Amino acid sequence: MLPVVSGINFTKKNIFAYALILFPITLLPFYYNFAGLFYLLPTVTLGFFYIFLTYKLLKADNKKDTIQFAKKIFAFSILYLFLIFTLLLIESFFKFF
Amino acid sequence: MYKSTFANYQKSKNILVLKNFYNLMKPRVMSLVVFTAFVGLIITNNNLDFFTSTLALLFVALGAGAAGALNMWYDSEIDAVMSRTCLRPIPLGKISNNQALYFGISLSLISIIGLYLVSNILSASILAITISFYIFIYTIWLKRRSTQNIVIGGAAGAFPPVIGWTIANNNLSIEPIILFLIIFFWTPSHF
Repeated sequence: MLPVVSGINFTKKNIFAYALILFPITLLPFYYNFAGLFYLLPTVTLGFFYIFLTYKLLKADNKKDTIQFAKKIFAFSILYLFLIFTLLLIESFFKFF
Repeated sequence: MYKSTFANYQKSKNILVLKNFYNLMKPRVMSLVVFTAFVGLIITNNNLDFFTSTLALLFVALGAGAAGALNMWYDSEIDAVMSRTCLRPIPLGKISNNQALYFGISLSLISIIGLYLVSNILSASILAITISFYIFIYTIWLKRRSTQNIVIGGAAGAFPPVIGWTIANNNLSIEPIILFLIIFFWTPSHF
């Protein structure tokens, strides 16, 4: 919706900014000790890749690249959130045993 | 033979009606809600029995569906003019505005009362707040006035793991708040 209302460049900056904000927040489960390295290492990797993709989108200077990266980011962001929660789930199962 | 063909037609029509109501509940959003609520419930490490957990998560799913239906009720006119949303059941004429409204209200009440009965007042209250927030703050108030609707409205989607946590734990602590923040800051880059 944002591209329609506020323009593409503003949207790109927003997406990049929120990817940067999200990164440290995904580390909090480790910091507060309800997740360990099993959670931390994949999450950091995914987070860097997410920031990389959103940076690519920010720097995309033609329509084709913009659409391509926007689609990639949409698909990857769903996977990103799903994996973060799945990792937390698996870690809490470990604690059970 | 004609009779059986007619019966089949009626049957398929009934299934289609159900499918429209199912689509009205935003099933993809619902699946994310159930999954994140499930994670919130499990990480408490409280051994809640399987039956209670399943029932409670079912009511959370119904609550999410109710919010989806009420959103589509209020937004049916603007949904009709955006390509992503123009195939929703109300713009297509499969379900009337009033049907969606009554369906959404009934489902909200069933989900909130049901969740209270199988779990606790805290979880039921947060579910009620989430549905109200999604309808009144996001759909009715912010969405048509501010581009920040995505950021603030995202809070509704961030509540489910908190509800999952309170179902099992009946209190709030740092863990559900962190899960809330992860979804809250994940949401905006989506739109």
